[in-house]
Amino acid sequence: MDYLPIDKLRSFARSFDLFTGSKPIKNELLELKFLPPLPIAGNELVWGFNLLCSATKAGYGRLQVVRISKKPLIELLRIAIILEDRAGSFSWEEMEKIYHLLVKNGCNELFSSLSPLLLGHEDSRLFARVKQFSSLKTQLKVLVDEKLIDLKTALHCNNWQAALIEDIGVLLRSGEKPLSFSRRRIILNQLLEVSVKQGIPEEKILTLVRNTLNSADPLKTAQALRFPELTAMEERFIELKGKLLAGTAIKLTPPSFFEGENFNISFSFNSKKALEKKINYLKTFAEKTDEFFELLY
Amino acid sequence: MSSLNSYIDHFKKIYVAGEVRHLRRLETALERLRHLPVIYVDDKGEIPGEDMNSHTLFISGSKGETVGHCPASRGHLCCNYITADLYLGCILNCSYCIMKSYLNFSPITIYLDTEATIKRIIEIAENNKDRTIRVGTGEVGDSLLLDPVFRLSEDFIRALSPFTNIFLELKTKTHFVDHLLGLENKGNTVIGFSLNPEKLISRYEGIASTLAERIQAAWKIVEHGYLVSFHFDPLFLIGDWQNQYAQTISSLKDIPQDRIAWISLGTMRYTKELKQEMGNQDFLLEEFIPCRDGKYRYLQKTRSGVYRYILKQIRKRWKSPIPVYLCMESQAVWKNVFGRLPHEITELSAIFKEAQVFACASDQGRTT
Repeated sequence: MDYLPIDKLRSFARSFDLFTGSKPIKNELLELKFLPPLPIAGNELVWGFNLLCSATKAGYGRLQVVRISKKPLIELLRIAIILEDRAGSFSWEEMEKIYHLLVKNGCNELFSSLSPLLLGHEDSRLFARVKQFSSLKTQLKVLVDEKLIDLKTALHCNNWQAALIEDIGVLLRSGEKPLSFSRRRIILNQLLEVSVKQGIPEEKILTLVRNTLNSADPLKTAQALRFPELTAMEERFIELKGKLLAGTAIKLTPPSFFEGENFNISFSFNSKKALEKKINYLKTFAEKTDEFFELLY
Repeated sequence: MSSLNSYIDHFKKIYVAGEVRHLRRLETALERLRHLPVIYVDDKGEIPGEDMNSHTLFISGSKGETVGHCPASRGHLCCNYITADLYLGCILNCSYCIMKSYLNFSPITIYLDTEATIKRIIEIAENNKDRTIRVGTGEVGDSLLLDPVFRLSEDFIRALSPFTNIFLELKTKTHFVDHLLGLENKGNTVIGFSLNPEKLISRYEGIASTLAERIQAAWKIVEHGYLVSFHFDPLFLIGDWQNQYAQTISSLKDIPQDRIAWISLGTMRYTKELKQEMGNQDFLLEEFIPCRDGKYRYLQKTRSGVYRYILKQIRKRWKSPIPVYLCMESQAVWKNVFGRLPHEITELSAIFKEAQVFACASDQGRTT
């Protein structure tokens, strides 16, 4: 191990300066001068850019380094990622930088081999996904990195004007009702499909998203827009049930998604008289079931 | 116009497994594919990763069981179709093909030795003499796409034609029937054409033959003494679908009803896995709901209406009852469309009577 002046280290090549989410260096460690040595390969700093920055600010004159003998780029990159020690929390932006570095050096096919270090598990499609991320408009990249929108949905929105994406970003961030990532994904996907199917012009998409997110139940609203026939059937069922069984304490359930041929009826009773009353309700109900069965025909 | 040569040009390499080297028909097939490099291997495992795709042909023996039941869906009525695998995989690239979800990294495989498969079908037929055995080779690949090169169907037609209870169906989206026209005994061989309106074929059925080519091939087949079948599957509810399908059915007008073995109907359906592979197809923007078998289908009420409409068009075209059945549909839909279940419909009862396929053999399942 060796020491090098800070100024010299700062002049080193920065092709491995890839990480924006590195853990901050604790002040106590800076004060105690307990800093790990920086790996260098020739005139290239392999890892420790935020450490270098913090040490400079703290007035360090030199830092300990460990020299790495000549290794292929992928090996140096592996060392940098291992030293970052953040599997599972690398941002899309960071992974995109890694992707660009590999592409620039003609070894992009090795990208997915880094997935255990980057994600904490194997993912043979990581390269493809980061490539997709890289193709996104900047505004969408921000939303994906903020986990406001998933990559797949973002890809579908990539043709939208930047201003619309920014406005939707504002809406998603300021949502009055907190939505989980998966709910937000479902809602956005459904609205996206509605906009494509109905040919809704871009200038009206923002209103569609806003109205949905501001509704009492955003998921239900989105589903009603995406599945109008199914929603109409559900509403019709509720209407009929209300008309024929309201106040009877008889529970009527249709087959799931109106797929099947059996309705289910249930009720409880605590006396012969109560049972007879239910039977009378059912007799009246039985005479008017055609409209229910129409929902399945 | 799609041609066999354009399909053959799709292939870049041939791998041949050791067990079929001695077969004479290999020589003939390779002669037809002489522009392609041939590599001999002991088994599929030797094919390098970069060639594990549909640009590779793998000519092999039929290891394991190649005869099985059509994989019926849970909660849906089964038509007791028996499948025989000859060609595994397809290059037509239909947008909706279920094989997309499980055969992406496989070469197109040809089981060149037909003997065991034929023997197995005969065994089933002999054990079910009182039943109609419908057996098809188009379950895991197009029956006729590569058949002009490998000529496997001829073996089946010749061997199975004496059995009056066997209906061998060769199902296709091509028009490659010329090589079959000259065969002497056709028995109950049925050439099945999967049909859709031309607008939808050009949109969703990759490089498959046009509707006109398929109908012309159906005509040829009928004129040469074969039976035909038509499969309106998958039916799409897009745009003016009623007119599109009515016109398609109308274009079959003069095909004599006594030469039509059956017509099947099935609406578009997909698994979650397939949806991943299909990408942004416009038909996916319709209302699909999950069914008991995990597949997504149009709403039951919608499907029932579609089938009733298509059935009406068929009944308008051919007066006497041609067997029309629904593929992978629920009891509820059958009742909505026909008012009855298949075994209660005279012209379908024979088709839907289950044959004892596995009870007569020691092997209980298929491994292929």
